[in-house]
Amino acid sequence: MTHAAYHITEETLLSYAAGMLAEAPAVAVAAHLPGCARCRSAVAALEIVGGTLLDEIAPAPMSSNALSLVLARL
Amino acid sequence: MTFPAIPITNASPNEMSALLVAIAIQHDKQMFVRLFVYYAPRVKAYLMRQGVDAAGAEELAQEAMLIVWRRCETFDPEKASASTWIYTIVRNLRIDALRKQRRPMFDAGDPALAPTPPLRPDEFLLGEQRERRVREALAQLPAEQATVVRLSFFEDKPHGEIAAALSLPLGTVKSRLRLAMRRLAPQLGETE
Ligand SMILES: [Zn+2]
Repeated sequence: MTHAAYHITEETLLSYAAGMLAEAPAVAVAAHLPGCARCRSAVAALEIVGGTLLDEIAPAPMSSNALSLVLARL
Repeated sequence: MTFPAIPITNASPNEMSALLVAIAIQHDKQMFVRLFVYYAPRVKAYLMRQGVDAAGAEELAQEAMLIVWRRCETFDPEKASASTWIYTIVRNLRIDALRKQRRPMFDAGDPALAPTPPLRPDEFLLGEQRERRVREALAQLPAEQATVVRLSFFEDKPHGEIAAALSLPLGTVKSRLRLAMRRLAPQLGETE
């Protein structure tokens, strides 16, 4: 396991995993992750939270031709 | 071709993961239709919840489903569930879309656009176990912690604004988030 000299704060990891972090700090987090198992695992856990929220959300109906548009582009 | 009428809206994450693996092997468009019916309206709702307008969310949801089809061979059910994998695709797609809006000549090699580096095999639980552990931890969070976690995913707001929206002191929001994070990602509490 690699030990980084510093860690990203929990608040920043959360914003990063949520896709809500501004560009410059997101670049800093992306540069930190390959060398830090701890922060990488935390982001992985938070991405599971994102997947769970996707499962839980009340669906918003797609337009009636959405499926045929997508199938035509497969 | 016909398929058993499974109640798609109540499909379990594991069913969807199995379906995605089958699509990668068989390239079957009818199977993809089932995946689309489950995920596209959820992706659209998710993006709208994040403030994307309905037309933009519709377009991005279609785009996301195309990416799912094109990259389905890279889906590894040992690493993540279909929902988690699709979540990361949608998240990155939205970031790209916002960036292109602001700056049409964006740099595709920008590290912020890179996917999260994968976990190494030795460093964590198998994907399915990790997925179950995190989902259970989320389900068991006290409501007040779950609320601030959800708001952090959906609202493009600094935590100060979340605090204002909930009429709570900023310190309270931050400590609830910290407590929640340590249940969702226990390793955060270990190494400080
Ligand atoms: Zn770190």
